[in-house]
Amino acid sequence: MNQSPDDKLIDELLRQSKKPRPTELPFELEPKQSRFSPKFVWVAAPGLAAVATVGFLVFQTSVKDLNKSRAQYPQTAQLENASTAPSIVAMDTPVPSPEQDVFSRSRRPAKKRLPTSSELRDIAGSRTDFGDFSAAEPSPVPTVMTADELAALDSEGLEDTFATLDSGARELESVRTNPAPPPLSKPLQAVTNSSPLTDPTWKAPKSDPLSTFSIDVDTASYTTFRRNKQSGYAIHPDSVRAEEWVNYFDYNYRKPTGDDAFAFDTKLAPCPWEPKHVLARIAIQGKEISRANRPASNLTFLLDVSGSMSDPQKLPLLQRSMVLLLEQLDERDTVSIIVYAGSEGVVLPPTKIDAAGRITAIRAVEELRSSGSTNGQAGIQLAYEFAKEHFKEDGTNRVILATDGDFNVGTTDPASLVEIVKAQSENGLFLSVLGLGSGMFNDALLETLSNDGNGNYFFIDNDREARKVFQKELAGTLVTIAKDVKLQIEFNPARVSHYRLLGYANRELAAEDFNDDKVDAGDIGAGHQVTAFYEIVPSGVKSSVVPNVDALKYQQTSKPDAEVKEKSKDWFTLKLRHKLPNADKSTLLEQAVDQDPATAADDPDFSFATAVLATALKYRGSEGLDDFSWDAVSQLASEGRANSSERAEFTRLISHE
Amino acid sequence: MPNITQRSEFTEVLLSHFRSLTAYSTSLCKDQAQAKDILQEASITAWKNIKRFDPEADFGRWMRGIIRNKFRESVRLKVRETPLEESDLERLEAVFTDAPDSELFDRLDNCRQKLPADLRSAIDATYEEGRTSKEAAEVLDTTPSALRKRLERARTALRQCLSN
Repeated sequence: MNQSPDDKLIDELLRQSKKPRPTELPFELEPKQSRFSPKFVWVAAPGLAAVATVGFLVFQTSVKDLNKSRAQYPQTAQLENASTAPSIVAMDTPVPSPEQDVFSRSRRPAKKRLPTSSELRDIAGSRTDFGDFSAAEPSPVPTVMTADELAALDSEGLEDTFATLDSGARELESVRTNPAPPPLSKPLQAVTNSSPLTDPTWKAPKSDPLSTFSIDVDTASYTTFRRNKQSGYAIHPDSVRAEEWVNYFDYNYRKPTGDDAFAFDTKLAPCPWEPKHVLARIAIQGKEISRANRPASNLTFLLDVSGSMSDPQKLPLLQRSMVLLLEQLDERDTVSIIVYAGSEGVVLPPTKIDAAGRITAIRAVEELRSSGSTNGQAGIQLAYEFAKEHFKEDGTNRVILATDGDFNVGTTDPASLVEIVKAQSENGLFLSVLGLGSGMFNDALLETLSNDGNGNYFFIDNDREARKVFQKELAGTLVTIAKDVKLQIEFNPARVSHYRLLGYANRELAAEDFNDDKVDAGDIGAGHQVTAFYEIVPSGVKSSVVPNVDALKYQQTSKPDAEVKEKSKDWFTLKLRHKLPNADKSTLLEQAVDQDPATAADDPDFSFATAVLATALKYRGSEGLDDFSWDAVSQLASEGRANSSERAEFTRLISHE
Repeated sequence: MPNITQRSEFTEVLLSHFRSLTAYSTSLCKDQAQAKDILQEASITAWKNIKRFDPEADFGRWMRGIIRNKFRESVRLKVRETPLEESDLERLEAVFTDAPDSELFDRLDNCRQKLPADLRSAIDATYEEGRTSKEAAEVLDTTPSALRKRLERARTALRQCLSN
C-alpha cells in the first residue's frame, strides 16, 4: 500500500487522462462574503472588538489571526462585485413534513407549564401547525436498494444517500482513537497511532463494590460501523464503542412524570451468551420538551468549507440539513453562520429567525460553496464571540461545528483549541460536533473537542442520518435537560459474585468522582435515551470468569456471609447524579433493584439491544462471546426487530456474518 | 500569451493544467481529500499572487511549486507525515514539460503504445475499463498480486518514457 510518489503520479495521470478537460473550477478563487457585507459591517464591528479583547485574554497566539481577519473585513464590500453571480451548489431542499417537529419526539404531548407571555405570542402565531412527532415513525428504508427505490428516493432529495465512498480516506477512519483525551503537550496524532480501548473487567463486589461511569449519548461509532460494513470493510475492534451502538437505536422506555428531568428503569434477564449469568439493563429516558415549552436557542454554526467538503455527501448534505433545521426555528431563536477556510468569514451575522430572518438564513445556507483551506481556530474564536454576544440566559447556547475532520490544516494547534472549548463551556457555551463524509481521520480531535466542551459528537454520511441527527439528537441537545450525569452502582455481594460493565470503555470514573461535582460527565438532552448493561455472575454460580485462587494465608479473602448486610435480596443499588442545566450542585436519585430475572423474550427492546450489544462485543473480541453464534445474535435481533427501519437495517447488516 | 491577470484567463489556464496538477497533488498527498484541499489552497494562493507570475514562465511548474509549499506547510503541522525527499521531487518534475495537459496526455498515450504487450494489456485492462484491480486480474486471467507487480513495472516504464 506504500506507493511511492512517482508511482502515484503515473497512476493518477492515467486516471486523469481518461477525464475530459474540466470546464469549471470545483471551488471559488475568492472568498464569498457577498450579500451580507453592508449589514455585516454593522453587526460584526462590535463583536470583533470583543473578539480581540477576549481572544487576548483567553489565548494569546490567536490574536494574530483575529487581527488578520479584522483587517479583512473592510474588504467585503469590494469583494461583492467579484461574486455577484450566485453560485449555488446543486441542492434539493426537502420540504419538512408537518409532523416532523424538530424539538419534540414525544409520543404524547409533554406536560406543559404555564406559558410565559412571549410564548403565548408564539403559540398564537403561526407555529401551532406543527404536530407532534409521534406520527412520524420513519418509513422503512432498506439497505440494499433497487433502482426503483433509488429513483423514489431521488424525488425526496435523498439522492446522495448511498453515495460512493472516497476510497483513500476509508482505511483511516475505522481506526478508533484514544480512550482518554489525548495529551495536550503535543499535536494530535493520526488515529492510527492511538492506544486501544480497554474494556471494563470482571470485578467482585467483595473487593470492588462500586462501579461508576459517565453517561454517553454519542452514536458516531455505530454510524462508522454501518458505513464500513456496507462498503465491505473490516471492522476495527477499537472503532467499536458498544454503548454508542446500543444508544443509536430508539427504545420504548418509561417516561418521566411530574417535574422529573428523567426516568430510569432496570430490567434483569438471563444472559443470552451465558444463561447462568444475568444481564441487567439500566435505561434512562430524558424528559421530552414540547415545542412551545422549549427554551429559545442561540445557535452559532461554524462550517468547514475547505476543498474536501465539496463532496456530495458533505457540504450539500449539510446545506439540506440546515435548511431543515431553520424551517423549524422561530423568532425566539438566533442563528449565526461562520465559515472557515483560508480565512474565516461570516456568512450570516446573528439573525433572529422570524419570517424574514428565515429567508435570509436559508439563502445564506444555499449559497455556501467550498473555498479556501481550513483554519479552524480563528473561526472557532469568532463563533464563540457571536454566541456570547447573543447569549440567552434561559436558553440554549451552542456552537455547532461541522467539518469533515481535517481541522488543523492552517495554523491550528489542537491543544489550544481544546483549551478554548473547555473555557467556553464553563461560560455556558457548549459545543456540538457534526462529522461529515467518509474520511473522518481526525476523529480523535473532534471527540476531544466535544467531550471537553460539554458537547456531543455526531456523524452524518447520508440524508437519513442527517434527519435523525438534526431532528432528534441535535434538537434534543439544543435542550439540555441535565448535565454531568453520572451513574454509580453498588453491588450486593450476597447476591452478586462478579459483575462487569459492558461498553463504556472510555467512560469509567473513579468511585470518589461520583460525589465530586467538579468532575465532568455526559449530558442528557430532551428526549435522549441512555442504556447501560451489566453482566452479573450470581452468587453460588460456578463460572469460568470466577478466578480459582487459593485462600490467602494472612487475611480472609471472603468474609463470612453474616458480615454482608443481612438478608438483603437486592442485586444492587443504582445511584444517579445529575445537575440541572444551570446548576452547580448535583442531585442524587437512588433505586434498589431486587427483582427476579424475567424472560427477555416478551420485551423486544431488551432482545434487540442485547443483539446490538452482543454484536459490538463480538467485534471487540470480548471474553465469553466466542461460542455465541452469529445465528443466535440474528435470532435475538429478529425477535426485537419491531417495526423500525433502523433495526431492520441492523438485522440485515449482521445477517451475513 | 493571454493576459493571465484577468480572472477568466487565469481560470482557463488553470483548467488546462488542472488534471495534471490533480495528479501531482495526489502523488504528494496521503489521500484524495487532502490532495483536493492542497490543490484548492494552491490555486487560491496563485490567484492572489498572480501579479508575481512571469507570463513568460511555465505555469505548470509555478503551480507545482505552490502545491509543494502548501504540502510542506501541512506536513509541518502533522508530525506523522514524512516530508518530501528532493530526489522524489526531481523524479516527479522530470515527467512534466512546459505544456498544458492535452500535450502531456498525448505523450502518455505514445508511451503506452511503446510498452511491451504484457505491460500494455495490464494498463489497458485496469485503466481503460475503469475496473477494480481484482476484476482486471480476472479478465487477464492472472492473480491480483501478479497484476499489481505488472502495473508497477508498467508505471515505472511510463514514467521513464515521459521523462525522456
